[in-house]
Amino acid sequence: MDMKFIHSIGNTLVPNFTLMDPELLWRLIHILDFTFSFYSKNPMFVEQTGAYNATYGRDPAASSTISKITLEILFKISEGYHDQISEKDQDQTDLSEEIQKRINLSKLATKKLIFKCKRILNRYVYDEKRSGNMPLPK
Amino acid sequence: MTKREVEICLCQSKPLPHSKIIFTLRNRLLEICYILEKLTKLHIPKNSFIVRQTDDLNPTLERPIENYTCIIAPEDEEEEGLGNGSLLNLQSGASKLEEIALIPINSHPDMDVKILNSSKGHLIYLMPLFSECITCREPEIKDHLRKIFLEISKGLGVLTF
Repeated sequence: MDMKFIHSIGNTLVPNFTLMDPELLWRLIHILDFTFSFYSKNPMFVEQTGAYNATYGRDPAASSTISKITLEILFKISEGYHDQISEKDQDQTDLSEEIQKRINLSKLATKKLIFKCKRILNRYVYDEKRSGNMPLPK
Repeated sequence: MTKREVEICLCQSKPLPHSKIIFTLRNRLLEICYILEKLTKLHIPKNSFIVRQTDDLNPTLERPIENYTCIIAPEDEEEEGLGNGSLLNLQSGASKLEEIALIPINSHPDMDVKILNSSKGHLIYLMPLFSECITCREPEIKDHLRKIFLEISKGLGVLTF
């Protein structure tokens, strides 16, 4: 069910998100953010082990797919207006309120996305530092 | 150390020498590569960052290096965990959007924020983390980092030579 829902968002809503009502898009971004956090326990797309999935009865492959799709959608929303509104136009202050609102929504998605990427990279760097020369167990 | 050598050590009850254990999972490597590739191609909206100039980050040679890598504001921590994603918080609507849509940064007063507020500003923001990733072992990641640093140099207007 989760998979069907997330696929339907990715396939139908996201390609046309510029036509969506700003309030609805705002909610969608928050839901995607929540979904990503919920399905991507440490580490993100890696199959999750044991207790966590047993507790919540989740399929690890489905969890990682959902995390990946939600992140992909956030990427799409973040850069969604880049093709439509040129950088010069973004500097103009006389943009209509509607367009300004949509650019701000794109910024909101960007913020969520960048913090997520930052967290994932941070974890990777931390784990990388911990690996290295270690004695093998006896 | 080969498997045979390990077996010999175990048979002779010799202590095993220190060996390098490399355990980066393939999936994890793929996810990092995926994120780095997507970040390289991403064009964010202009002026996505709000820069607060502070004297706290005044660089001096005596200051430890960790302080310079930390241009990221403590507000970032609010993004940790599930708390901020609570569905109950969705009632506030998009009216407060301007206040929450910007990424806060504490910066040095002399910092040039032009490139930070360009469509590739996220690469500058995440640069301390990219620099940390340089020391990793996987060549795939290094290749992505190379592309990212080229993008940054392009953004800074430095021509390749």
